[in-house]
Amino acid sequence: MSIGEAVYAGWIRMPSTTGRLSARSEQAMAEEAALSALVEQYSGTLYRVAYSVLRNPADAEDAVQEAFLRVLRHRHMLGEVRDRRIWLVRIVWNVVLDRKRRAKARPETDDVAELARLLPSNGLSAEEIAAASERHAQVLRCVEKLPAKERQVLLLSAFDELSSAEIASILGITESSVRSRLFRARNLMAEMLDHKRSLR
Amino acid sequence: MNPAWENGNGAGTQDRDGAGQLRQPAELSEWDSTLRLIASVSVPEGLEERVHAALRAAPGGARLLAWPAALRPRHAWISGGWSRAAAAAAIVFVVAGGGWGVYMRLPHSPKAVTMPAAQKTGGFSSAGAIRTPDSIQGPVLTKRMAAAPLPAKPTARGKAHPGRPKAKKAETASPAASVAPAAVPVQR
Repeated sequence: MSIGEAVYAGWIRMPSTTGRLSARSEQAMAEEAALSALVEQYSGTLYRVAYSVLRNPADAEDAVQEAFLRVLRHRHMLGEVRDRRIWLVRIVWNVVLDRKRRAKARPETDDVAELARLLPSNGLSAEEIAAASERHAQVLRCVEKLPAKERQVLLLSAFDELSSAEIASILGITESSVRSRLFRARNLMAEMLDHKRSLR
Repeated sequence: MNPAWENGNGAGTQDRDGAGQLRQPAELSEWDSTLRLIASVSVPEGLEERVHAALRAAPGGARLLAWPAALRPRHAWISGGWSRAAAAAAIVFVVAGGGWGVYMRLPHSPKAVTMPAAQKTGGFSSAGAIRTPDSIQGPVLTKRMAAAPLPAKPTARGKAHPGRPKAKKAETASPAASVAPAAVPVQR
């Protein structure tokens, strides 16, 4: 979104004076235009990151809005941020974890119907979609049983656009820690899924 | 899983194929596809507009008080730290001066509040009371006592004052009757 569009959208205020703009207001307008561009560019990525943890469309959208509100509050720092994408993902990740912690009393909403909605429906019968949804729900239940550190790395590793160094930066750990946690997570997942299969 | 960095993680659950690429076991691809499905969820339509609306509705955040544009000084150095420091000093001066003025107007002589002087002789003090109530006059005899004392009753036990004759209780009148004691006739 350009500055003109942002002004039209109503959340960039033009100064009331008709004379020369002060340096301060010019800087504020530049910050808000940069924020507008961030919304356009990264809201989809942030939504997917939020959805991978919350698994609820409304909660994920609320988390994205809350993340951008935090950015708005600290928009004066935008010039100092080196990698804005990672910065934004870290903000939404903290928002999501905070929400997840607060909503712990609520039951998990790994709804099979919700998963069926996500599945591509081309060439699949209703029975196949139902079976795939049930399988995915079972995998997600296993993911929820993982320890928190391993689960976080595993969830973030599913995003193609995030490298191990970026995941390390988001989680505030070293890259080697990311790799070792991912290794543990995989082993635990394999054990749990084998155990489930043997019970069948 | 992210192929860009997954190849170097040294996970023992993977093995290499002929082309040197890491190959995932079948059970790993199962949960991998699930996570990828979750990670590639489609973004709802109008998300950006709703985020823009949320930003628009958000309060502007903390801002410094600013002069109106018409009153804004033209020189940059005035609008900086000098003017703020001068304004802060003026506010401090006004508040401190007002407090000092109120303090100076109040009477603060040491006689304003005095503690009652404690009695050095002991006993109860009057606690600084200015007026003490008059004590009520005592009872007045309406009948004279008999001339001869009554014989003492023989008792087995000794009393505290065995030799003292027991006096008959005199009838007492109400305190109201003692207002004019001379008017009451004495019966003999």
